[in-house]
Amino acid sequence: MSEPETPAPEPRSGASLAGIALGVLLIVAGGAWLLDTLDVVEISFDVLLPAALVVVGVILIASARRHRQGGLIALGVVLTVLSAAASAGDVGGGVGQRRIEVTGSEPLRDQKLGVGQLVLDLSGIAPTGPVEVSAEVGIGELRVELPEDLPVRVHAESGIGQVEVLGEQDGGFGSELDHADNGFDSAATSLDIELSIGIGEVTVVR
Amino acid sequence: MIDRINVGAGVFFVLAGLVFLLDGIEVIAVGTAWLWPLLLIALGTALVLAGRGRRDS
Repeated sequence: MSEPETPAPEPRSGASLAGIALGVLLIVAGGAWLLDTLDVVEISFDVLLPAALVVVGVILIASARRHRQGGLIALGVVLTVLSAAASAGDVGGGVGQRRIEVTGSEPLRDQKLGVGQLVLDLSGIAPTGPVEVSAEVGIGELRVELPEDLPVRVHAESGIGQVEVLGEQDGGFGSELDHADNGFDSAATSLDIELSIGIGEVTVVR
Repeated sequence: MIDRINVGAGVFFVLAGLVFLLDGIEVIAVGTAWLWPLLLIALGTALVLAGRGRRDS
């Protein structure tokens, strides 16, 4: 009596394909980060993340005749969320910690940081009229320190995370806060501030 | 045999990636108001398709 034939185990090509794709993406991301640190190129995460997403999508389509690529699909979902957050926060401007101290009266527009902490120290600002300030961070923390006695209007939003403006808080998906001091509209000197972060925390303190 | 989930997810990721890429290089402007609901719908669709795929196999 012959033994029943057992089917040969199928090669685990799915797992290896996901691993290879993740490895290649990590190498490319690490290389880009290194070049950014060395000031050779400036990383733009709002381009890098969608490009990685397209690569994952192409690999998935190319692997249509292979096993279910669960790992690659999970990687694609993560990249989609990060790309969406980057798009919401308009990520650009590099990686790291940056502190900007403003002492003059000039507007401070379109300050950008890709990943990390951006601190705007406006406590020493000396405006001669209404001054506009705007800043965006992709992933990380955005903190603004205000002067004691200057009327301000603040609009702060976060794709995923927390927003805290002068004691008021909002958190979760699509957090948003608006604050305007009494007398802001009639003040001769004032600060009008727009803040945005993709993933992370926005904090405004006096 | 073609795996529909691989192809469907791949097409979605390519399209989403291209939209975000065009937004990144400022060819188009992607609004944020519809973004999260759309992502939830896409995730839900993927889960439904995955469930159907498991049931069929």
